[in-house]
Amino acid sequence: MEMPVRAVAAAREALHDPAGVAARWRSGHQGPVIAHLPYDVPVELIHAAGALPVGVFPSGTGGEHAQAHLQGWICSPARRFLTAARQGELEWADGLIIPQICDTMRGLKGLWQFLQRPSFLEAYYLPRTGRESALPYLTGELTRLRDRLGEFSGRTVEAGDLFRSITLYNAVRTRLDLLFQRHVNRPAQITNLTWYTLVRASFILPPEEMLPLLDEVLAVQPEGPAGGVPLVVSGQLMEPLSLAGLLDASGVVVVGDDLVDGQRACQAVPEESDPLAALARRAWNSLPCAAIIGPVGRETYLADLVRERRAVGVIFLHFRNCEMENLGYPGLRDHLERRGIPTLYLETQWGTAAAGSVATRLEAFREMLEGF
Amino acid sequence: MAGIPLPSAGRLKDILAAGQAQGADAPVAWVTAVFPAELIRAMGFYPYYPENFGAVAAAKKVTPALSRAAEARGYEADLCGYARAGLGDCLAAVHPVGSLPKPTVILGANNQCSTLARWFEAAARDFGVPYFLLDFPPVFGSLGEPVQSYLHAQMLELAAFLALNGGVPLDTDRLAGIIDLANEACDLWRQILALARLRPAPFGFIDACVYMAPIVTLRGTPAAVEYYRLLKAELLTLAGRGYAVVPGERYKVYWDHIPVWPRLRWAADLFAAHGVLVATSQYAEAWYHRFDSSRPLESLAESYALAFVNRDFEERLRQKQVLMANYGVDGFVLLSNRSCKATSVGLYDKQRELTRRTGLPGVVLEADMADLAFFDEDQLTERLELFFARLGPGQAKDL
Ligand code: SF4
Ligand code: SF4
Repeated sequence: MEMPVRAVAAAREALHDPAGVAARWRSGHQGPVIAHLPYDVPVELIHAAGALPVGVFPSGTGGEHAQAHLQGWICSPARRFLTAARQGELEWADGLIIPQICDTMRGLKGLWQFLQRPSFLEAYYLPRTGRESALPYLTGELTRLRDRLGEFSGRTVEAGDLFRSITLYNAVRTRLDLLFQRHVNRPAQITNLTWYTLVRASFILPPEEMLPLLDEVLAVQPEGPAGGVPLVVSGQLMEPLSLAGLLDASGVVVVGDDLVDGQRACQAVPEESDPLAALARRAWNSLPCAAIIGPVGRETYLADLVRERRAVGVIFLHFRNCEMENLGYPGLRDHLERRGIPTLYLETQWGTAAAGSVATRLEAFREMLEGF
Repeated sequence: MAGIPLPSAGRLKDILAAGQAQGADAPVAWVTAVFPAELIRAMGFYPYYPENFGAVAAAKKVTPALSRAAEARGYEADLCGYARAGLGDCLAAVHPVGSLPKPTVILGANNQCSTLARWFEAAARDFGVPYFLLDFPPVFGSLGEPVQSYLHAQMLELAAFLALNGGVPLDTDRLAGIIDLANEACDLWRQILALARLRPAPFGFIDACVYMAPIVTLRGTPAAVEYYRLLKAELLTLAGRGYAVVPGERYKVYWDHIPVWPRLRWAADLFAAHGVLVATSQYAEAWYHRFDSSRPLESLAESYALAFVNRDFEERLRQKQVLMANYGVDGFVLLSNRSCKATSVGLYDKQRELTRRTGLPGVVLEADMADLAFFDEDQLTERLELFFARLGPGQAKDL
């Protein structure tokens, strides 16, 4: 079976070497490289300001350098991000955006400013409600961020720039979505690991480079059987990425998710005449998550997703010490199980998922589902 | 901790009980502590404070028992202790501090923390009642647009929500009257707190924790005003007689945030044994507001948005420094409160920075405000005694 080997290797390389990606980009561009912690950040705005947006996905656990600054019971993503900064792993970035999705991220922004004194550090706050008042606020927040990015990169962001960036990222997002369909139908050809690797790479590679990579993968003749155990995954991130490989090994096919480095990355921006309003609308309508009470509740969204995608269960992938996820978990689980949807709870830490026990639990869950 | 010898302690209790009983037959709105309860009262709801329930459960040392019921349902043992007690009580078979009243509506806000927003959302789902979240974007520097317009729009949405769910129509004159009462109680509260600046002082932060309930739960009622008028008068009388709540007071220190409720007496005794008065805390000061009743909705929204927990790192540091200077403290204690991520992130660096800026010794205590599973008495005593030894020669001067 023909596999998109070269493209996937390029994606993997980008994940391992964001510094290399940034250096390569700098050799042909004047603008800054703006890192962002991996939640819903409007990368189109960064790109339109002539900068390169790069998601921060440090590899490995490596939370120990945070010990002097963060308590051991603060979640591992925050500890890993701060360690990355303290160890100089993010030197490739000229600036950083920290989305304010939880108390920890709110605190981290101030601490980061205090410790690292970066020349550009911005918060990005997504309103938490789906009420009417949220939309004008969100447009205002995006305007503020656009202006700050423009100031920093020395370039006024015009509507035309933003429109072009939206179109470019939409092309990436649409292709990712097509690829996801391919993965669902041909899981042996586009495995879970391949799909999530490509999505993550789209957070790191410039869209101009990502696009031909995705085209290359899509050009491969679809082949291979359908099959596997169709499941939905709910959480924040497919972290560690190796979890996707464990899912493959267990015969699980992810047919839907609400992950930042999953289907959230496939959501295109509506093409409206006012590009800023369009960005706001995309954020407002984005898939429900732990941080936001959107117009549609997360429990309804997940139950509908299971039904639409003919999934047979849901895996919750939650970081330990994440109050945002944990406070919603029992309600979500009960809602799904009342509807006859089995669930599995996997607790992870950044960079590690205790592969042995995860594999065993996945196996047991799969066997349980087969008996369903 | 013998308690302050207040002649009318019984009357204070009666005022409190009467204040709490008033309106208790109105529809119940669960509400977060730093929420514009003035509007809720004006629209005919009885505000109930589950955080207060959490503090009482903690003080009575039953948080672990209630938490076990929450943990059995899948909540983590690392969540905020108030949330575990509140969620656990709804699931537990026994209710050692009485049951939480069933709400008509649940009103959350995230100016203190996102934990409350998520906890209340989960509770609303469990009770099957409508939920409203007042969304406060964090304030970096000063309050400006688009945040102000967003907050104002949400206040209108909140009023509409309350009207739709059993409230009486909003009467701005009534609201203005409630705001005036809230302002008066806040002024009295601040004047009482300021008594801790006297040397010796008749009152300190640990006492503030005991007398705090009305400013949290009865803000905007005549009962709160009456209560604090009486308390202030009696404390002034005691101060006039030279009464010292910490006999032989030698030092004043700042305490950051919430106390360890189940060991409040232990803390009071240990500090007092070393002649140390905990004079001030951002936690006690946080209940002070100054509202403008001529623009009630805007003013409520703005004041609650500026709650210290909703401010940035630098502003929080600045506020701590101002309090330390105002109360002439000799050192500071920061509680690394396992329950509270919202106040704990960055605490180690805050300690180093506060010492650098003020030259004062400081200590970080690792514990939990509610759960003694995370309380190591020997280690905490040792850390505190080392800290007391660094407080210098002590002061006996008047401010
Ligand atoms: S894991 Fe949870 S607590 Fe940590 S940064 Fe993510 S949302 Fe916040
Ligand atoms: S203690 Fe902290 S986390 Fe818990 S309710 Fe209060 S502010 Fe929120």
